[in-house]
Amino acid sequence: MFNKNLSRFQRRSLQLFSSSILLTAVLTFFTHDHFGHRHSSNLGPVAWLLALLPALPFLGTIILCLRYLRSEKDEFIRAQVLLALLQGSFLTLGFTVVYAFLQNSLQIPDAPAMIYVDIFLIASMFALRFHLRSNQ
Amino acid sequence: MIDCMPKNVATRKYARRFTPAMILYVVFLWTAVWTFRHHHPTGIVAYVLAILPALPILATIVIVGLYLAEEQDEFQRNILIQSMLWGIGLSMGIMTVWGFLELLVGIPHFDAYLAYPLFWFIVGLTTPLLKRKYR
Repeated sequence: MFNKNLSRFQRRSLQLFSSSILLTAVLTFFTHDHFGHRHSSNLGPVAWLLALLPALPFLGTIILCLRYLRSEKDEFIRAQVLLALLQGSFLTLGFTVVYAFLQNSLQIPDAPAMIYVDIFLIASMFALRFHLRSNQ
Repeated sequence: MIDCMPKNVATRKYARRFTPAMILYVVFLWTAVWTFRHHHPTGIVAYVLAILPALPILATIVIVGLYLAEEQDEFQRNILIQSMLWGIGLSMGIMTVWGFLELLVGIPHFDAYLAYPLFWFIVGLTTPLLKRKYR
């Protein structure tokens, strides 16, 4: 996918995906950093806004995905992206289910809820790379 | 989910696979809870028992995947795929916000086992909305 054969629409979509994922990461670090320097009780309503901030570009990424899937003319690429997103979702759900049962029964440490976004994005990215490479 | 689906071969296969998975889930969950409560297992046995109820849930994920592969009705398949994308997107969004609220405001911990029902709850909400769009 990351080559010269991309159409203008695909290139534009890729740029938007990358920007929104990058923005999610930047805002996550910013929020984490902000929290690290202040006491939670001093934050008040700002804390609620800060918590919403990193989720916004991620929701934007999902809207971009749906818009991309609706507008993509290349059926093959669309099918590959769709498959990768579904496999990413399934892997994330599988991970949460196994982790939840281990956590409930064995008292292993809690994972922060936002870690599942990273698992979903990484799993989907690897699935897409794998499908595109195996179909080359 | 079944009520929103057409009655065809893929749906029947889905139901035939899903029902035993749910029965196994109840049996495995009961076994795990009972054993942990009465025998306090440790080591490998504890890990195996902890994962046991997760297996039928993992099987349901595979069953949905098989349904998507076998469904011939493109419209139904697309609706389910779109609602699943909304499901994963919104549930991840909620979990991100929750995770930060946990860190910043100290709200109660989001238990990982809630992610799966949350995902299907959103899928259940978005499916009729997406179908209405095409009417």
